[in-house]
Amino acid sequence: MSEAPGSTGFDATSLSSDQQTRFVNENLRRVFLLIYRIVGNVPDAQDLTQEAFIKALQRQDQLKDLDKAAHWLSRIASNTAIDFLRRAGRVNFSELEDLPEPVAKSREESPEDLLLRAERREYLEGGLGVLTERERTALLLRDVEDLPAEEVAARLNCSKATVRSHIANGRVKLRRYFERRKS
Amino acid sequence: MTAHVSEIDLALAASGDLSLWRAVMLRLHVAGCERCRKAAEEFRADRRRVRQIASELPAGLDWDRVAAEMTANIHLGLAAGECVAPRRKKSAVTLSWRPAAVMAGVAVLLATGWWLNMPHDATVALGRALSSVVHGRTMAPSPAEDPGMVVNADEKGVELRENGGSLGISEGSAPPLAVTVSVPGSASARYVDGDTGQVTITSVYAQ
Repeated sequence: MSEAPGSTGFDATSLSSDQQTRFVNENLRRVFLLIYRIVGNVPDAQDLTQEAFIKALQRQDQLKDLDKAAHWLSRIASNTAIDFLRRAGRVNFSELEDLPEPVAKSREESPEDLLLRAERREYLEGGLGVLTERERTALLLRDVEDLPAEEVAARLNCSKATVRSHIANGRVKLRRYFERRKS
Repeated sequence: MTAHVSEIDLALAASGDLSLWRAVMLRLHVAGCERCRKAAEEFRADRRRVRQIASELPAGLDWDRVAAEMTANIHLGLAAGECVAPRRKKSAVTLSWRPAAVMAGVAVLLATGWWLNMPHDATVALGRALSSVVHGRTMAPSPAEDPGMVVNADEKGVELRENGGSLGISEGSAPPLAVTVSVPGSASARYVDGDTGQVTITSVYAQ
């Protein structure tokens, strides 16, 4: 999640079509990944990413400070994903198994590297899969988005103590999962 | 310290989410406990792993295709939104602060010039009117500014003054023998003819 909105020289109050495209291109991957990690499947993440961008671009007038664009967009994205989970109930992680086999993306990576990466990804994604929605969302917002516990609590609409409990339980579950996989 | 730190505390410590007191206690314990130190390091490593995996695309995802599809759908959604959005009301013309400040300065300059070039009486009357507007009530003029109708009796005779004009009654150059002024607003002057002894009384009344 290292992509930032960058130094887009757009006027936040009215973006031209080109500026909108740039804004989307610079943030699409980051927002998609955030939503994907929360909802856990590609088709829903794809729909929700689109929804988040449309919401954001329709509310451009609320974007006063471009330096905060990444944070603002992330907030819309995570809220969109959380609302979806609230509406839809539990996420179906079995869809991950239906995805096609990994495709080589980088020419610099050897087949061994790719295999290791795929294994590591599967390993960690499996770990995230054992968490409840709220644990996973709290953990992702805290660890990946680097939001303070208070902000996570605000987004999940619960108390800070509850968020800390979700984070702690999530980490302990992940640890146990990794230990099981190791043994 | 014999009891080990709980897993929950170790998990929270990985992201600095422990309270200050518990964090200090944990650090003290971990400094002397190999098992807890190892567990704390594992939680920190898990956190790094999660951050790392979160930045990677799902396995097998053709990102270029998915990104192009999403971008097209976003533009489509925005275009559709514009079609169905309620028409915006035409907003009134708004000035930015710079032109507004210049216009205000020019207005103050003109008003000051006009004020300074007005006749004194008009300035006083306008000031009174403005003051009454500001205070929300009609203010009576002060006697010094507008005495209204005045009767006057002096060595020249009796006189009635109002609005800058005056009407005086006298007996030529002869001074009155006596003048009287009454509170209800009248003034009288008595003249005595030195040759005939005839007495003449002239009076003015303010009504």
